[in-house]
Amino acid sequence: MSNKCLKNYDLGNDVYSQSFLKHKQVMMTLTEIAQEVLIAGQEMPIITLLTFKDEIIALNYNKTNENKNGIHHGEYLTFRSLPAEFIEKHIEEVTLYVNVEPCIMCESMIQQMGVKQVVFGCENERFGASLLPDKTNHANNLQMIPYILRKESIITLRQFYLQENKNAPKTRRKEGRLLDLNEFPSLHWKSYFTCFEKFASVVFDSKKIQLEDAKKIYFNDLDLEEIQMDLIKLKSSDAEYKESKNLLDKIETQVIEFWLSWKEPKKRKSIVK
Amino acid sequence: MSFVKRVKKDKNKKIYVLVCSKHLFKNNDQIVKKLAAFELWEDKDYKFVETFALLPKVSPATKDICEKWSSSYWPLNWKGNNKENQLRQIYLNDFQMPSLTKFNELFDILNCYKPNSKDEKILTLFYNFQNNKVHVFQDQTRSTKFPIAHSIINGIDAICSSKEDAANEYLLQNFYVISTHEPCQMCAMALIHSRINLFLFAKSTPYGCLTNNDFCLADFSKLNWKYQVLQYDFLK
Repeated sequence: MSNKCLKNYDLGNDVYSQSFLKHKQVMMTLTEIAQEVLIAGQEMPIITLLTFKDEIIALNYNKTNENKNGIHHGEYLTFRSLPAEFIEKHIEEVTLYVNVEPCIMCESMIQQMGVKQVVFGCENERFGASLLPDKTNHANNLQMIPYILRKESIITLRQFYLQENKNAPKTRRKEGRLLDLNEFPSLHWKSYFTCFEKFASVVFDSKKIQLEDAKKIYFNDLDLEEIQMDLIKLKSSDAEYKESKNLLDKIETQVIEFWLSWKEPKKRKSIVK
Repeated sequence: MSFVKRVKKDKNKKIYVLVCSKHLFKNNDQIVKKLAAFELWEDKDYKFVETFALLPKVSPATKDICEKWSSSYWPLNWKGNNKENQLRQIYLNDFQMPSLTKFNELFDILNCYKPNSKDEKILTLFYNFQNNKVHVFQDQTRSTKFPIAHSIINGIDAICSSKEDAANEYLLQNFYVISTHEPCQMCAMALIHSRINLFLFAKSTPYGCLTNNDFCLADFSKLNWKYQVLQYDFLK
């Protein structure tokens, strides 16, 4: 655990680049959906969203228990949901968002699919591709933008591990354990941005950020922001919250609508012919 | 000494932690000094209740012995008989392989399989050693235009979705997997997620991550599962 991370370094939204603010917006939606999946309690709340031209075109989450399949991670289910023609023409234009760093399998999958940009919340300490030794974690043109709503992602996972595992043969009692909201593992900006200039240009608006502030964050491995507690539902059994659980359904409807409208122009073309 | 548990709890719910071997530090003062560097202080954060714990030097040969030693001395983990485990590791080597009838049968199935000519001839066989059933899958990246439709991924998906094999099985622990080619990072990790026991392949590949001199994903200590990897060129 790093003491550095206890220090909050909140500069406010004004200093971020436009693209970073877009990423943050999607990650806020994703974090809220993760909380909904967490309350359902069946699956690890790891959510994958895919955006194309600023629209969400896929939403999936880990379904290893439901499908009884160890490889049914959100990333895999997302790619499987895409039409072959779309993959062929547009896969390089999509951005993949996930609250936890893709695992070793999914990272290779993302690269083989041809996705160029991945945004994630926290590192995956169990299966993450960053566990691989440098030689195998080969350099490529995949851009990883890490640590957006990192603490919220970590807390969501901690909440999951504190829940009773409904799939375990013998239920382990976990009432005595408390949710830690103060200690977080250390982060490593250099693992994803080998130089400061790249980090600063991706994360910040150069006209609005004080260079010294950006350097402090990069070189001292600090988090970008304080925890947004409104994204985390500490009382998951709260009936009122359960009733308002609809973001997942809402985004899934949006995704269906996107694919219906995306197919329409193709059909019209064939009618003209 | 991986067979020794580090922590034990007594009837009074006191927790005893095994710190290190007596060969590492000559006396308690050295340990206190070391722990002080981590801001842990004697009588405040911990207390030396027993200077030494008696431990068996060698791992127990049977489960019964393991339980007996655990109750008499210190709790131990039963991880099977070490020597037996080592023998199992060398059981399927290059010299013995041709004499194993079952494996020869499986190689014949792969050699006789008629692949779809549109796709590359990269095949993977899944053999369930409990019910003796065999499934063969081919790489379909060309015909499906889906870049990750590798034979291993196709196989895991098909087997897990078939009720026959997946009804009571969440993972593929009853399977040996045999492939014509060394797998990529995605497929090698998919086999770890599926918790297979043994993987055998014929040809090395430039993208493979099992036969690299200093790194083998199937034996990566940071992961929660390992499988045995064998290379044997059975292709005719």
